[in-house]
Amino acid sequence: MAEMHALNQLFATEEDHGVVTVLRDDVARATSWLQRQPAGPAALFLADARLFATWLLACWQDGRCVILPGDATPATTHHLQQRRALLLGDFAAAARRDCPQDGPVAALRICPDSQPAVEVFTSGTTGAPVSIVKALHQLDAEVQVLDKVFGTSLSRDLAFHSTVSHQHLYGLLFCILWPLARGQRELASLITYPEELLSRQSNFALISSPAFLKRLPRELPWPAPSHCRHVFSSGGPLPASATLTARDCLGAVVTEIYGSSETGGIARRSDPAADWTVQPGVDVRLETSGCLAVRSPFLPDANWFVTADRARLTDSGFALAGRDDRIVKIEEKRISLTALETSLQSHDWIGEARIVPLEGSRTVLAAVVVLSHSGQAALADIGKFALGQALRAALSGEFERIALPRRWRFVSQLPVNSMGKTTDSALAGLFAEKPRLPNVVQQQATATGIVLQLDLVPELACFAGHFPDLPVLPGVAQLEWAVHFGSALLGTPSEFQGMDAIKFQQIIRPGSQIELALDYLPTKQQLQFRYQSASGQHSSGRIRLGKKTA
Amino acid sequence: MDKLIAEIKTLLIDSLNLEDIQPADIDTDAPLFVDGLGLDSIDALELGVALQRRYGLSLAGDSAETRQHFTSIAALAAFVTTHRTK
Repeated sequence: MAEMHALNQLFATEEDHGVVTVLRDDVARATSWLQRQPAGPAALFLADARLFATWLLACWQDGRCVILPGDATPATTHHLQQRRALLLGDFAAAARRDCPQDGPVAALRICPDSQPAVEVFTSGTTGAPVSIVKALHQLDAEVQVLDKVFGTSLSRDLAFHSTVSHQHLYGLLFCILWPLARGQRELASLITYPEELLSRQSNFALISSPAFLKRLPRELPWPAPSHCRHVFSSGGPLPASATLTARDCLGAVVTEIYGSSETGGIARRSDPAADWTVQPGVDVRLETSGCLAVRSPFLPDANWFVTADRARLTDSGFALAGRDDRIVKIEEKRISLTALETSLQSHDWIGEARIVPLEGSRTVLAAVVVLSHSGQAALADIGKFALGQALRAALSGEFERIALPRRWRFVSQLPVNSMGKTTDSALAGLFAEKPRLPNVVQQQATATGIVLQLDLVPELACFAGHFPDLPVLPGVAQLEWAVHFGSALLGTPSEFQGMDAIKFQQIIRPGSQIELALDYLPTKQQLQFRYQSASGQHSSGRIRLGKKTA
Repeated sequence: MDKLIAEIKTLLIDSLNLEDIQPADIDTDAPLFVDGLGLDSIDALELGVALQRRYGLSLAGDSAETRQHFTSIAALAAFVTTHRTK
């Protein structure tokens, strides 16, 4: 097996070093071309891994720092142009995409390892994405540790397949830099759908993330024995069930890497129930805030870096205990809820907006919005779905598509709790299944039963569609509630056996405050009910009840 | 074909949990991603899994070609018609 080379010395010898040797001439020509361009940083956005690596190495040879944007949208391009970056790759306005095939070659050198090498951005767009510059020695420290921890079990002939982009730090390290440093035959190749893994005829490692691994369909004809030798997952927590599914489908160890663009890889684990094991050379400690702090050669200096992750130190490393800010991760993208809300509120249609994450098989962002006057006009004009779509489109200039709210509630005012606060749970409640029972505001026992004050919130399920233009409380719901509260509060039998003397005198509208009086005659197993309010009696009757026969 | 198109629209709404939209609201020829319905890359993955389950499609092979099949409901329906195994 070839030795690991340092990233600044890839071209120091001419001995065979896999894909590095293959790229040598291209890098020499690309470097020469770069030497003839105006000085300054380069911005590189390129899907093709070999061409990406060629430009990256050539920029380092030419002493240029490489900005790695997460996309090549007009907004991003504009921003890069303002910084006078040399655009390379798949930009519409790129100075060059392909490598020169002839022309002068530059002599390749050993680069100073203090040289700024790349500028990456925190994944996902927050209001102001943080840019992080990494010197060559920081990147090199990372790949050397990767090889030390994982290299011995992965042969140099192994193919790497990836579901993550090399435009972000995790993908850059695993898909490009590590294969270069260890002299693999090939860089990682990108795959999109799980089925693409089925037909692989040679052994491979999979560089992936929870977004992909959580969605592996078990029912695909997964080959046994599998050609997969190792699965890496990073970017966010991988649910234990997804680890097990991936292990079964792919027949390989699944290793999670915990870290961030700022810190690089901090720790690893291959068992979702286990604590995190710190990577060699990395120190961790707990701040008084309860947040994890880290010090490592992957950071720019020897200072402690405090993360926003709360943690608990354990014998073997640490366990994570949630985030400390309003940053959430949606499919590995870090999203600032505050930035999303601020952006939404700047829209003409919006008076007030709050964002709440909804957990589920897929965590999605949900928006609760109080519309402005023009927003209400738009709602009447184009309807809810189109309104939500239009607001998503307005946000998409600033945020990645995955960060956009998927569910919308347009309300007249934000929900508040009894303390007058708008809480996440009150917001999330708007997206819950509709309630089937009214709120009991007050209850008072009587000699033969109980009197309840009920708040008939308009969200009640029984108001929906009965009737679309004039919602009223259906008689059957009135009977159901009487039986329910009788059983729950008076302990009456819950089996409906019949009814007598039922009278519906006045309709009951959404939002009403209604009194429900219940009296139980045990000798007759009869529950008397009466709904009344300030406007008089609404309904009354007797329900015959019986024991449920088991 | 109309029946299949309606079926795929329903499958799309159900598998992606879209709210406040009916099958009839989806334009058969409009782009599904970005400009049209505004779906994202995770939606593509989930829709792919749903189509694979329902019709026994395989999305193996060239990614660029696969992307072509996902451009609109009409393109998807054509793809399902020729490639379905159930």
